[in-house]
This record gives sequence, structure tokens and C-alpha cells, in this order.
Amino acid sequence: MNETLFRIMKALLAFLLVLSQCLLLTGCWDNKELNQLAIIVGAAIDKEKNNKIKLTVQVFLPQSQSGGQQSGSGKAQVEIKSAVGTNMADAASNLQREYSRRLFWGHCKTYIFGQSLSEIGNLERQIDFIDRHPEPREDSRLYVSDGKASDILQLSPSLEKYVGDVLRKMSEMHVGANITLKDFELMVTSEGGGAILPLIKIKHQNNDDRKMNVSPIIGGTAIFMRGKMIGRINEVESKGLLWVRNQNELPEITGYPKKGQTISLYLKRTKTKLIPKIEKGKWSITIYISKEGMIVQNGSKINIMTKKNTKRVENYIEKDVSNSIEKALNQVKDGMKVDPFGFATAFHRKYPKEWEKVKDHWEVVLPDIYVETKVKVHVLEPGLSTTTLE
Amino acid sequence: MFRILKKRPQKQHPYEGRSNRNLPLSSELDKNLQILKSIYMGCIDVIYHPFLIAGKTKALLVYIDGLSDTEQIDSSVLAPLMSKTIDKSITLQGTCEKIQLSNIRVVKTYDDCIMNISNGNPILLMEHEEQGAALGLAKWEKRSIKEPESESVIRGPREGFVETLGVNISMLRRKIRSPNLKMKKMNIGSYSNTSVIIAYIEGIANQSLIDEVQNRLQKVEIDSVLESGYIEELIEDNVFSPFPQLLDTERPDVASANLMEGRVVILVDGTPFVLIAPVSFFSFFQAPDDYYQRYLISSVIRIMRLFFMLISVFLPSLYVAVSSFHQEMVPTILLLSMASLRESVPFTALIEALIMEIVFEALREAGLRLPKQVGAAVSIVGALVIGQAAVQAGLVSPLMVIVVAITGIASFMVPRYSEGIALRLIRFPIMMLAGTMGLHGLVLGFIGIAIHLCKLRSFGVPYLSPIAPTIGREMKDAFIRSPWWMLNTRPHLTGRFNKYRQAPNQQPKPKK
Repeated sequence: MNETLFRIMKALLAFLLVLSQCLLLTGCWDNKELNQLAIIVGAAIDKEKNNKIKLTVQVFLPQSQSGGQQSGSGKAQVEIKSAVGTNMADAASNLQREYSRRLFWGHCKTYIFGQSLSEIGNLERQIDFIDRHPEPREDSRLYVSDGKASDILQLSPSLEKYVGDVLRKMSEMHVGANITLKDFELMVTSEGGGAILPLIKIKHQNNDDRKMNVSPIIGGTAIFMRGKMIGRINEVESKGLLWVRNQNELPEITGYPKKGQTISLYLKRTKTKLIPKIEKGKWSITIYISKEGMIVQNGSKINIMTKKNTKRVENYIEKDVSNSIEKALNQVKDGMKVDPFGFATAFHRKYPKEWEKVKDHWEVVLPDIYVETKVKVHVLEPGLSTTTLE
Repeated sequence: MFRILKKRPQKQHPYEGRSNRNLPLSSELDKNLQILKSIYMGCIDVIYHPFLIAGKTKALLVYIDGLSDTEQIDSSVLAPLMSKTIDKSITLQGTCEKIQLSNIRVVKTYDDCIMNISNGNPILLMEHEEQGAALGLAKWEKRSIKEPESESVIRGPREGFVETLGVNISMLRRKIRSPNLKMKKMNIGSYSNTSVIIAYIEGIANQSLIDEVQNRLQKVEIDSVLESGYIEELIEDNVFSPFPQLLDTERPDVASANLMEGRVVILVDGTPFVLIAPVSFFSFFQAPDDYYQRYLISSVIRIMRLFFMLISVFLPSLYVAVSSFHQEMVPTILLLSMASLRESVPFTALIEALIMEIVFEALREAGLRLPKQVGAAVSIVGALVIGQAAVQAGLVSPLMVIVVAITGIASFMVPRYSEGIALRLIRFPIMMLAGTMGLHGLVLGFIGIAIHLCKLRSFGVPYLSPIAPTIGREMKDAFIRSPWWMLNTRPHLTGRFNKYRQAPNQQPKPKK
């Protein structure tokens, strides 16, 4: 046997030895096969007695599809279970006792907090689990439920496979506030400390109380001060609040030229600027909002094809926009004395020295700040038809 | 077991090599005949034909039946020599002048004689002459020139090399008519005595490269060379690498194109496959069509080839890594259906992938060797077994079938079989790494391959050039195929001694 062949054989043998070790190693290190996991697709956290919480999870039940015969419904089979614990990790580990497979948080993208839990405060202590545990995602979305959070998970939606997906897709479409875990943390730790989360309600359709016809809707916004929920606002006020925050809600705005007449604009571009000002010790802030869009419905007698009338239409819509902003400011700034608008950040940036003086009693200063809203709406196009049928 | 790993003292190799029969021919015809007969003892196909030149001088014609053109021997050699019209001076030279042949060489030793007889050239020996004449009458059954099956093209010449060296040389010469196309001949194989030819273009190919190829070929001592693969393994740079370091081709146009880029072509008698050296990794992704189709299309296809090359190596590993380590990387909906599909599979993803990939390789190999009529049956059975039965039996998930199918198709995108099979082979260790360490393993495997490829040389040329070392202007023919009016220079590493291949600024444009 010559030496080269020897070397080849030696190298080959060593290589195969190493590879065979690899085979023995499977299942050791970090390996978790798909069919050893219980995939969580949604979670709800509620208040429980004795300072405890109840964690409800929606777990995906994979159904074997051997033979390639797909089940006709296409509905994912989900199972809902809950467990009580002192915190989320504790509850999760209690929940694990009920499962033969490891609970996997990597695909849980919606976390719903019960209203009562949120109102106690210190929500950030629960959120820390989502943030710290390696599996849950930073881009998962947080919600507050009107009532018990676990009830939301029980719903079976008609289009998507599970509730979590419905909520996430609605948020991505900018129905209500679109707040991820990261956004919420940023808001809570920002200067003002005001934060918002979308509020979920259950809507019964046709007064039919069967589960099939019940769907979750995002109805308004929950207002937080640091980790404590202190109030809620409705859809119209949410729209105003989000516009001030330079975020979008659904793109249609409707103006009312006269009683019974409507005209709707579909927004294509929108921009918000906050300009803070301190003059002679008087704090004020100007909100510049510009919106551009096209008219999608003209339910009025205005002939929108003339330049002059376009201006009128723009005025009506501007009025509607500033109306919702006004309402939001009234409710949140003056009523709740919370600043989720970002005023504090704006002041801090422009007047850092003055900010230092007020930052400890911001909630006292906030209601006295004079807010001026300047809305500019621009109609880009009148849509596909010229005059109305009338 | 560990005894095997221990080094053993090397034994003296008992290889005999070529025996020396370099004796000069005798002037006695009978003695020559006797010696030749003793050399060719037991060879019934050797024919000794004694005859009288002009009825006076004894002469002998020795040839092998079936290797020489007997009709020509009769009409051009025997007829004129045996006629009585020959004048008095009957020397070898005078005789040769009478023979109606253009290709006559003088042989002086037995070794020469044997070589010529084996090649099919009849030897003419005469009384009182210490030398003989080798008549160029070699003729045997040849395969006709056909389209090479392993390298078919949509557009381009349809001829392929054949098993006969002379025909192959003529095909090269027909493509490159310059006298600068030079060839060096050597015989390798103590028994087979195979002619091996190094072809290159003087003034383009690097002289030191030609010397190196010649040196390496001269070191080869083997009993027979039946295919160019024999010497490929004996002259390559790294014997442990799965990657081919010489390009083999059946196409004269590919060989000529490489000659024009300063490379050396090694032709071996008895095989249509010629070897090209030096080559780089990207040479194996250049299909002949690339240069005949429009450059845009060629470029897109070439990029696709490289992309699918990556897929063929890494896709099964990626699937294994993601489905058993990094489930959070998969989009939720896809993960849920993956989980459903994998629910009834009893194996881990790694075992599942290994089973399917090995079955696929087996099917491919089985289909390759079988006759065409049976091959169809195998592919049908294979498709049914892999595609349906395995899924229905719950052995593998349908997703795995898709992955294997895509991988299989991707691996056939590599235009060169030798490179494709190497890439197919290395995906198994990477799969195991991915199955044990997840994406870390996959990355490790990738780094390992990259290091190996960076280290690899083909006749001194870095295998990964022009990426490593990075030669910017050589990218023109690596990932894309630049238009011909931009390919002004030859590849730097092989063609820098004659840099320009065409005049500059040839991009067609309107006259100013």
C-alpha cells in the first residue's frame, strides 16, 4: 500500500469519524424539531386574584395531512388553554405542565392585555418577559382588550386562521393605532411618558350571539401613563391623536359642507410637524398638518371641478380634521393630563434648558400649554367623474 | 482499528516500467524477422509478408491485420515494387521513391518498428539494409463525428471529438488555422503506448505553463492510459479536493476557445474527452452557448446558474437548519403548514433530508447506467416513489420532496458534469453540519468550502479567480458574459502574455 493512498484513507476515515459524531449529536444541542413544538399564535394576559395573572395562550394544533388530502376548511385548529401565575414566566411554566410539547413563543405576534390588568399599572413588568425572553419578537403587537383579554382569543374569525392574525393584519392596515412592542417601550420611556395601545372590542353582528358571527374590532385607543392605563378615547379622537403623532389611520376623511351633505377624501400623503415655542414664559405649540388626497365620493351639490370650489371642499375637510384633533386634545391633554402626542419630546429638543425645569411636573404644565392646529388639505384630483348625478 | 492509522514503512515499488528494446535493426533480413517474430510471439494478428523487390531483392512487410489499409498496401506498395521495371540499384531509398505514398519514415531500431506496427504503419524491411521504412498506411474503423451527448448546445457547432487522435487534431486545426497552433507529442503507458498531445498557441500561452504541463505529463509512468481521466488524476494539483481542477470537454469549439485564452489542451488518443488547464471555478459555469447567444441572455442565464449552484449546495441544509433550529425565521403561515405537513413524519428533518437526497442520487445514478428503454421505467418508479408513495406512507413531508426536487434540478444547471457532481457531493456534509448545529453549521460549512476553494490552484492559477484574488476587469467573463466588443483582453492569469485579442472600440454605432 503506498503512502499517498494511506494519506487519503486516513483523511477519509478521520472525516467520516467526525461526521458520524455529528449524527450522534443531533438532538443534543439546540435542536428542536417542528413536531416537538407547541406553537403559540396568540396570548392574552388577565388580572387574577391575589396579585396574580392569568396567561391564556392559543396553541396551533398541527393536523397530519398524510396522503396529501387537505382538510377542506383550511381553518387552523387552535386550542386555548390558560394558567395562573405570579408573572408571565411563572404562568407560562405552569402552562407547560399541560403540554407534551415545548411551548414555542417565536410565532406569537399578538399579546392582548386585559383592561383591569392594565389599569393596575406596572404593565411594563409583564412586558419585560416578551422583551427579555429570546423567543418572542420585538415587532409583536400589543393590544388592550375591553373586558377580559382571554375572551378575545376565543373568537374564531372568518377570514384569517386565528384571532392574532386578524388583529395584526388590521394594525398593519392602520386600523387604529399600530403599536409594536418596540414602539410601546419607546413611548413609555420617552420624556412625557404618555403611551397608547389599540383597544379591542367584541362586536356582535345581527344580535346573534353564536361565536361564528362575533369578530374583534379595534375600537378606539387606550391611553397609558408609563405602565398604567388611565383612560380611553373613541375612534374619532384616536384618528386625531394619531394624526398629531404623524401616524396614519384609515385614509378616508369625510367633510360635511351642509346638513345631510358629505364629501370624502382618500388621503395619499400626510405630514405632521410640531413646532414648540416659549415666549415670555408662555408655552405653546403649533401643529402643522398637511394632507393630500383625492375625492372618492361627492355627496354634495358642490361642483368640484372649479378651482374656487376645490378650496371650499378643502376647507370643509380641514374643519373635520381639526375637529378630531381638537377632541383628542381635549380628552387626553386636558382631561387625562397625559402626553402621548410627543409634545414633551418636541419641547425637550428645542428648549432643553427649560425642559429640565418642568420635566418633573410635566403633567401640571401640560394642560396649560396653548396648542394651535394648522391644517392644510390639498385636493389633488377629483376622482374619476366630474359632476354628480344630480 | 488504530493500527490502520499508523504509518507503515513504505515498500519499494515493484513497477517495471518500460523495458528497453532499443536495439538497432540488423542488416540480415532473416535475423530481423526472427527477432520480430519472437517479440510478437503469440500475436496471431501480426502478418509477415515476404516478397521480392523487382524479382531480386528479398524484402519483408510487417503489419497488424485490421490496423492498416490492405488495399493501399497491395496497390501502392506491392504492385510498384514487384513489377520488373525497377532498375538495378535497389537500396531502401530507391525503393521508397518507387512507393506511391507521401508519408514514409525511416526506422532504425526494433523499438521504432514495434511502435509503428502498433500504430498501424506497415514496416518494410530489406535484405542488406540496417534500416526499414514505416509506411503511413494506418487505417482502422473510426467512429464518425457526432454531436457530443454530454454537452449539447442550442446554438453552436454540433461536432464533437472522436476516439481517434488524428481526427481530433485535425478538428482543432480546422478551427485555428494559424501555424502558431503548436503541438507536443508524447507517449504514455508502458503497455498501451497511448499518444498524448499538448496543444497550445505559441505567443499566447505562457511558456512556463507549457513546460509545467509537459513536466507533469513526463512524470506519469503508468501501464496504460485508456481515458484522459487517468492522467487528469495524475497531474492535478490537489488530489484530495472534490473539485475538478482540469476541465474536460468533448467539443472542439470549447477547446479552441480555451486555446485562444492562453490555456493548454491535452488530447489523449482513444477518448473524445480532452483536458484543459488551467481553469478556475467559473470556467465550469461557462457553457459554450454563452458565447454564441446574445450577451444579455447569456449573462442572465449565467447568473441564474450561479444562483442555482448555491441552491443545489445549500437548500436542503437550509431547510434542515430552519425546520429544526430556527423556526422563528419562517413566516408564521408557512411554519404552520410546515408543522402540519411534518406532523406524521417519524424522522428528524436531517434524517428525512438524508433519506430523500440519497434516494435521489441513487435514482440519478441508476437512470444514468441503464439502457434507455429501462431508464424510463426507473424514472417513473422513482417519481412515484419519491413524489407520492413516500409522502403517502408518511415517511417524508411533501415539503421535503419539493426541496429535493428543486435541489436536483438546480444541480443539473451546472453545465459541467464533473463540477456538478462535486457540488452534489459536498451538500451531504453540509447537511449534517446544518442538522447538528443549525445555521451555524451551515455557515461553518460555507466557510470551509470557501477556504478550500481559495487555497485550491489549477496549474498555479487560483481556482476562485477572479473573485479571490479579486481582479476587477476579469469579472467581464465570470458572473456575466460581456458583449464581444468589450472582451478586448484575454483573461489576465492565462493570457497576459498576449494581452489584446481584438481591436478596441468595436461597439457598433452610426458613423460620425
